Amino acid sequence: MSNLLEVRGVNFAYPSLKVLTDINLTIREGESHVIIGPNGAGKTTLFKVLSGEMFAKSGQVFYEGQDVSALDAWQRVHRGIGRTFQMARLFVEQTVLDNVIMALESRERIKKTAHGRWWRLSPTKEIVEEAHLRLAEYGLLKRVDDLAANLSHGDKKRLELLLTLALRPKLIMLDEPTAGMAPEDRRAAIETINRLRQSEGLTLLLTEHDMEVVFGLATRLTVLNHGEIIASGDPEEVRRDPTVRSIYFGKGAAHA
Amino acid sequence: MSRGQNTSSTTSAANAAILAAALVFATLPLWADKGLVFLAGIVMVQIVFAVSFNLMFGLTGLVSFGQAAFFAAGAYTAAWLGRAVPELPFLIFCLAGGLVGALLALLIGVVALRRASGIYFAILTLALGQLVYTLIGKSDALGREDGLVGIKRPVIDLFVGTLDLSIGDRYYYFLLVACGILLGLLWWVWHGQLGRLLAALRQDAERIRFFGVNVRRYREIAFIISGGVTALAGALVAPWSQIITPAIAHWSYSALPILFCLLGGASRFWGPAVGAIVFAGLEYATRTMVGVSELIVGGALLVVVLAMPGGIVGTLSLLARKLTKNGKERLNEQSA
Repeated sequence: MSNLLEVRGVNFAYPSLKVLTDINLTIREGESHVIIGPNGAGKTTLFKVLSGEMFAKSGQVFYEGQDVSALDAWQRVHRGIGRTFQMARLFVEQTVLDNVIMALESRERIKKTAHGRWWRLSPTKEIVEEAHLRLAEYGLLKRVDDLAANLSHGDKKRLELLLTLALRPKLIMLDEPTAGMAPEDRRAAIETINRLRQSEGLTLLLTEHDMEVVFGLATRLTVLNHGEIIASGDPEEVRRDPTVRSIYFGKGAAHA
Repeated sequence: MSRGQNTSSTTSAANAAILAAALVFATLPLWADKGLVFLAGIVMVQIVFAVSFNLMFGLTGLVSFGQAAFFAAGAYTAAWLGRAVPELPFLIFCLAGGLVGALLALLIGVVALRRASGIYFAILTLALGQLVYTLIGKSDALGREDGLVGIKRPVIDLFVGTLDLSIGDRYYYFLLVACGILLGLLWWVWHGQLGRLLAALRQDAERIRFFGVNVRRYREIAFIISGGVTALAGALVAPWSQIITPAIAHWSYSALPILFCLLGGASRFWGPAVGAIVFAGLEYATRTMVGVSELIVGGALLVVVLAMPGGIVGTLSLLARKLTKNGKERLNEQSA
């Protein structure tokens, strides 16, 4: 497995607060890499630095061997990075179908095909057909004409995942994909995400709080605490690491 | 399925209204007095002004308080060129006006769009707009505070012959066609892929950024199109009013399209057009009531803004949706 994303010596600080300290991290192609850590450990900041929403104060981010540290998020999307948010971000005033069409047209704009020309009045037939196919795959077909704002929490998350995947990324970053879900929905989400990795050859980078989800998804696990990586590696090994146990898992981990 | 039918019946009602309004404007010189025809010409230009502004405001979600700067840039460019190089064709003056407006929008956009969020952008555009106002008022070539007067209505060379637009109502019809073309272009931008992208950008800039969209650049594009078309509207109005003064660059003139958008509804393409017509109608109807006129117009605005958050068009389409829904339910009950 070759390295898809490589983080070298990344530091990030706000004027009065150090958030990330000397982060070194490697995401290999095809792996499902979960980042855990207590609230305020710097997971979200690390995500933002990796996606290009914020820039590190020092250190570099390499994607497919190229330094992308100076690239903005939209440029990293062109390279093949996608992400979802803790609270699903959708175009809430538009229908579910129009949300998907916007994602597909955006992909075509990046590829500079005829489907993505700005002067095109309506989406092409191929785009509309693909949108319906993808919605059917995700069980959202009966909601095509609903406004995205009116979807349930779980459907919003599913639609956001669909939108992000519609751009055909190589690396997909999921920020707490199961947050706020019922236990049975969580299990379904684990299945969906694992299937994605296996069938579409995606590389996944996730943050997650729920330990069932963490160990259901992770092929590699990294623990962040006070902005520093305190352990990284095989999930089972990390689970047995005494430092991790004392700092992160606490008493609850004893019977896990 | 039902949603599709509702939309189509609402759409056909809206289309009928647009057609009726276009017909009224087109036949106006046949039955109305000169004063009303002049006013209608101004209103047509203001519709283009307001709809092009709304490309920024209602569609892209940026509140600019300096739109008058572009209107004035177009008007002054066209009028000044008409004086400096009268031998050139009039359409060149108009295009030059639009180009200057677009360039000005590019410059102002580069500065103001650094802070695209709410009040900062509004204040920056207001300040830069007032700068343009001050520059015009102090320029000898542009007639300082007196402006440019005696602007001639042009003679257009049509290859097969010439068309003298200074005769009778010809310039009115020219305005009608020109404004129609500009509105057609704006309609295309609003409803096409670019417009849909801008609407998505307004709703969630972070999401569209992760669709690989350079948000700043697309805001800039919207600003340039908006400024350019507004400037074209300004270029068209100069020969119609035959006099232009720095007042059309003043910030209070920037407030006009905002009022039209709020009155008619900023979320719909035709909203600002309805706002402009209703506003002019109110002013016209109360024109003889000295002192009370502003009170009535202001009061009407207050009522609409407070009671109809979606403006006139937004409220009407909401009503239409409710009515058709009720009608459908009743039909369902009967068939059940």
